[in-house]
Amino acid sequence: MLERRSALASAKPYKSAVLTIAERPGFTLTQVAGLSPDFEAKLADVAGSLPETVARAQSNGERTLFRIGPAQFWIVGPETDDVASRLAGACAVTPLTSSRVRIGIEGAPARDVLAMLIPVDLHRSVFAPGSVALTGIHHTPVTVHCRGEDAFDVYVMRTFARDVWDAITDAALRFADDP
Amino acid sequence: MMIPCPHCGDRDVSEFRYGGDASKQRPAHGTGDLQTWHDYVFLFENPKGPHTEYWQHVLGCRRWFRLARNTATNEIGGVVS
Repeated sequence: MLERRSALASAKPYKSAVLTIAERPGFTLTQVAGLSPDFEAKLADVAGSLPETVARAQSNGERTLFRIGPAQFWIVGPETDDVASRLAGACAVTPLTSSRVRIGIEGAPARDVLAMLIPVDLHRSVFAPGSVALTGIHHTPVTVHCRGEDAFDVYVMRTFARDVWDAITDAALRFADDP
Repeated sequence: MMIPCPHCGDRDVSEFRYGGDASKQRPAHGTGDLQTWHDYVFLFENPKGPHTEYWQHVLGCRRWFRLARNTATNEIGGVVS
């Protein structure tokens, strides 16, 4: 059986007492889109309640849904998730699990690290837990999810993961021991 | 410069791609006159002042939209339907 290989296997690990930057594997990512009027109702039947506005996330049990555009969602689920097969026929389903790497950034300086990388207002009152931004790091499209006050996930395309990893860990160097 | 994406909200211009003059009228499908197509494809106005243009939120939702912008001041007039 083919084994999954991390796109960051050759990356230099990042270590700091105040900041954790690490790949967070073990998820299923499914993109769904639909134009029919009942698309969102069908999606809610399978995946639970939906985020009300674009750039918001909604957690339902083991799954988190991001509304990433008009009539378009990302569903982040556990490593084995049958949501794609359950939605087949109800909307356009694109499995993205193998095409994305999830990099977690956690710790007191996490917002300051991200602020060096993305042109998004990261103030606590604006980019609060449950916020999602489709933006770019190093000219590469990424999706950033705030999953806690000082905890973020960056979803990056697999082929750009090493480059974005280097950009993030470079930006984090100055915060290594100074929270 | 901040651009109001109709889906993602106010975002930095670095997330967008400029898509050209949105006020030009594309010749009707099947128009055989080469001069008409030449003018449409190659000739552009370079206005100073109010302008309607295409932008794509290329690092975000990837949607295209029409934006009113003053080319002299970069003042944004908002999204044009």
